[in-house]
Amino acid sequence: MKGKTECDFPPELHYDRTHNWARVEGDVVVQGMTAFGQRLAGEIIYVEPAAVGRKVKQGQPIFSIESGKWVGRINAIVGGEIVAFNTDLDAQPDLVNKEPYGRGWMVRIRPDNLEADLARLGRPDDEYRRFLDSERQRYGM
Amino acid sequence: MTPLPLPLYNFGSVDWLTTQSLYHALAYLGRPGLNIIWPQQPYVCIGRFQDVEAEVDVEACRQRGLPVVRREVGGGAVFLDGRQVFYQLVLPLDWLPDSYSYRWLFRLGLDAVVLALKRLGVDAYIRGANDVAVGQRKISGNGAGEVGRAAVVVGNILSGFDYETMAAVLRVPDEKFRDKAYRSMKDNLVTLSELELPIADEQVAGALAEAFGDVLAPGFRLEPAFELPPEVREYLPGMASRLTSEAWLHEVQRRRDERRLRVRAGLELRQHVWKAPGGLLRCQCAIEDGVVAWVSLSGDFFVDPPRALLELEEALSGRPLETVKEEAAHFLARPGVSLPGVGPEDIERAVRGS
Repeated sequence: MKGKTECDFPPELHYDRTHNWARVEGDVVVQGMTAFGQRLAGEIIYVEPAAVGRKVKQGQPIFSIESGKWVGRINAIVGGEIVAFNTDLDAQPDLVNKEPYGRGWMVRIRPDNLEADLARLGRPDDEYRRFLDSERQRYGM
Repeated sequence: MTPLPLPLYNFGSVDWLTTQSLYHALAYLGRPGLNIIWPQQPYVCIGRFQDVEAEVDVEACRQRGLPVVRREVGGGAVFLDGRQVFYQLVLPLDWLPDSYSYRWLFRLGLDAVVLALKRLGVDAYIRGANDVAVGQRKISGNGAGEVGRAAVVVGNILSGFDYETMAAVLRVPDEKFRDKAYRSMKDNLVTLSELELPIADEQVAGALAEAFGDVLAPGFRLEPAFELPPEVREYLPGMASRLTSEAWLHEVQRRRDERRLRVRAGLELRQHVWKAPGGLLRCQCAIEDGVVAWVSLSGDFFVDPPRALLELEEALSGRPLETVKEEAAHFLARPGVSLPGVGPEDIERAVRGS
């Protein structure tokens, strides 16, 4: 995406409508929260450790986060097995705010139906930009 | 569009545990509701991801006969009693769009509290993300979360507040911190009684119900309900058992080298411990709107001359949090000041925390 959002939505990533991103790395998918999502959430003060080894479906809640007296759920961006949780978030949950596409990643999932799941995610294209515009308008951002 | 019917459970004074188990039960059942209630007995309630042993002096609670319970919504440890009128709004997730925002949910609660207070003659306004204040002082705290099959926002209006008990049940590093907490709460909270508005709880409850009716329209329509559906009644005992189980209360265990007490939006009392090469740094401070309001440093490091520690505290006080490292560097560069093994980045870490 161009302009202001260019660095916020790396073009190689896939995005869902609850402000998560997915990056395919070999046979796993790394999941995190978008720069827009973390701005919407505010300072993340706790990230509940996800259960490594758990089998999950795309869209299924897998752990919760707390920000600004709000406890919300994070959904699996693809289905599969959770193979890693970012334990750096135990001590530094605000890495999600500071480096949403880097050290603030949340979980790694070994997908079991990658192509189909990716097809249900968005790219930072015109349609996704319209979705974000409507989100910005809704929340006055 | 036809408004969605939302039962109003304006039950007034109920058993303390019901003030927690009722909204959790509604949420797990995916049933909508607005509860307006307050507890017959006082108790202490911690947030979803708080470590009870780190936040609450459980022994002090036991001595005072105060039960302790963990809720599933966010926020900090609070002392709750019958001088606070609670609201609890439960909206099933399948009523909401996937990308609904917690800010929107908070606003429903906050707008209703402000409207209710204004109608009671109190000039209240929304302060920060989730407080309602009068002047500079908070009169309503609010928290929210996704619980079971619902999105929930809860909060209160303070008719009165027992500052002494609240300060007594907090886990604090020392009595100095407790005293700071007590005085900070006295300075930053306000109640209807302190405003010399001795309004009956029932009147506050009525104003809240009316305000929610207005705020929730036209999407939702409040429908007064005088008893709980059988399904909810049957679910309540199990939920009460879960919320009071030792396993649930102690479910979260977190790092103990950090303590933060949020007094109101924009004001936190903090204690951090940081192991610098030159020794352990213990920092107590107040951060007000991003500024170090005051700071107290101690530990087992060496400082020369001894008065330099006091001067360092003075140098950091009143400075923006992001300039702490820079201020510390300036201070440590002063001729004759020596803190071996303690650098500006250590002082920053001790003040800012992780």
